[in-house]
Amino acid sequence: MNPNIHLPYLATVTGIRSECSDTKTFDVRIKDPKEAKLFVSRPGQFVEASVFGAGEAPFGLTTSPREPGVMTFTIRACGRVTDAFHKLAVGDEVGIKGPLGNSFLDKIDSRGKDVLVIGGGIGLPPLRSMIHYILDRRADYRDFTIIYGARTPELQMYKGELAQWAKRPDLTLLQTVDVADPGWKGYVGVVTTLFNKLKLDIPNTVVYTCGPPIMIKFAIVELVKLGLPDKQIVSTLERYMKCGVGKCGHCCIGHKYVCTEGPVFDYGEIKGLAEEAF
Amino acid sequence: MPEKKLYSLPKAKVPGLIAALLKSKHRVWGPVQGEHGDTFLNELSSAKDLCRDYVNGFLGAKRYVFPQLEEMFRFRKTGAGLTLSPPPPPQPTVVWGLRSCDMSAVLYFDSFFGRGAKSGPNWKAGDPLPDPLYVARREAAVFVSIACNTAGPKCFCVCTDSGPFLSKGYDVQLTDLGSHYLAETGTAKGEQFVAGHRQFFGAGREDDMKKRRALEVQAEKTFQEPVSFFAKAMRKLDRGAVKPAFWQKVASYCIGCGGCIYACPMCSCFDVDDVKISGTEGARVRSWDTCDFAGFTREVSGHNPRATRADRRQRWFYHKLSMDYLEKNPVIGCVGCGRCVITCPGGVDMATVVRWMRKVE
Repeated sequence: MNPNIHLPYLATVTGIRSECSDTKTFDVRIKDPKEAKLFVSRPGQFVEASVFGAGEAPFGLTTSPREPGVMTFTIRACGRVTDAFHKLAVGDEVGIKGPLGNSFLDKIDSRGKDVLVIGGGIGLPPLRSMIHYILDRRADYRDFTIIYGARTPELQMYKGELAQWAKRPDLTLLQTVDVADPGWKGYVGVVTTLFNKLKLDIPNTVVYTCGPPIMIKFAIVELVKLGLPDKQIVSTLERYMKCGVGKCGHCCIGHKYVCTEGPVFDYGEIKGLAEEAF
Repeated sequence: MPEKKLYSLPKAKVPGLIAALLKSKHRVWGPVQGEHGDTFLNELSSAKDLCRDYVNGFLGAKRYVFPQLEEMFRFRKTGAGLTLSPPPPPQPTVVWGLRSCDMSAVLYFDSFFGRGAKSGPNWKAGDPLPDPLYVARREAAVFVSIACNTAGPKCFCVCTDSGPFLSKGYDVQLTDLGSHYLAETGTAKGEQFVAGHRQFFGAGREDDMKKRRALEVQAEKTFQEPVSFFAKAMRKLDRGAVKPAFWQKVASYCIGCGGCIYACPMCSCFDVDDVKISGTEGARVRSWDTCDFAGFTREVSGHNPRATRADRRQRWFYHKLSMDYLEKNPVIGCVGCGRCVITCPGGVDMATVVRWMRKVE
């Protein structure tokens, strides 16, 4: 993190991949090697990324790289800054502030426990950093299940990687869509309809979730009904943000700043907020 | 600062002092009178601009420490790629004649914008970070506040421990004693300021301090706005006694203009935008924003966590009055300056809402 909290690092786009009609994934590298050394992210953290002239917006980091100064994030084109990102080419310069916020690792320790990841739509990218973290240390965790819901098969993120995960014997991947197409082999319906396929060891399961507010809300309702304790339900929250460094005031939920005190919260913390988080 | 020292400043010498400051390349901010008779804190171009007969200006020292529009950095496209440059350091400045409430608001900003020394590689998630723009402006300035011998018609700083006289926090505090001011220094910076302009200041007199104490007691009797029981309102808010219907009532009087927030010396939320300067140069700027506007929390999907005006009014008062925030900051989010009382067209200002909240069953 730069000591001048408003000044981004200059960085170069090193790779761009299309995920679906309106979403792309960007690989980015901080240019100055000294500054790059300061950029070491942990799963769940985010950056404020700039296209100079268009502005700055927060994006969840989708990997936990082993090398400092490099990062990957996934962006849906849906506004001024995100549209500007979609017009970039490999080699273009962007600005990066971060890594910002806390990590999934700051919450309950899920090593030695079953892990359930519940992702919805473009909520998968921030979860992917934790998924990679666990897969890199697979022996430290017990059963590993991922439920991923999308509106349509076309709108799924990381299709190639999903296919690889589906083949892994040490990982159960359940995929569902709201509206199927003729080639779809997964489930149809919202993510909570798949909960009855799970055999949860309630005291020894940790859930990580991210997705549209409505999905997180209903997923948590069902998990609580199943008896999962608050601390074992971990969610990364999203809010409109301007600065990412605890000053602009936009992302507050009650008295908590999502940018500096989150974005990762457990359900106990979420319940204690003075405003509804979803 | 070992102990505060007393000086006297003859009023007749003030114009000379201001002129000397301007001549020595200081910027000077002070109360000025606008063409319609209103008073506000502004940068002075000459000692003649200074208005010395005023209770409080519509906009206070927030205009200096946290300007309404401020460049965060510039970006330039060159042949070799982009370069970023932070703004130049601010010039030495004297903020002259701000009132006790506004000085108290600056002290709150110190804890919010200046908070936390940690940054760089040792910074970890959750640690507060100092805002470099604020810290630079704060450190470049000497704050010469003036105590209030008489409260304004809408003032209630006596309920928020932020006036009418201050016991600490100011660099120099002036008390109007008729033909001269009593000047108390409160910090090493204030002491240096007086020492650097000693030809304008006389020796402090112990009997002036006696007069100042008597004036303070007298001033506390001049408050007209009956808002003293913040604590009861805060307790009701904290214990969940203030229900959604209460905020719907508040919202029904609110026109969502954001005036209370712009005028509030403690409101600090801002928007960030990139603006074009030329074909190859632009600036990232921040500007005052308000939680009163629907767009403050509206996400690009259309989802808005604070969709109704009642949600947004609740937010503003919660931020300022909740125990959660009191624990985060040393003070509540109000200095009793009364500006929202003067500004609000619907009459749902801090004073009124605290009064209503106290009466919640």
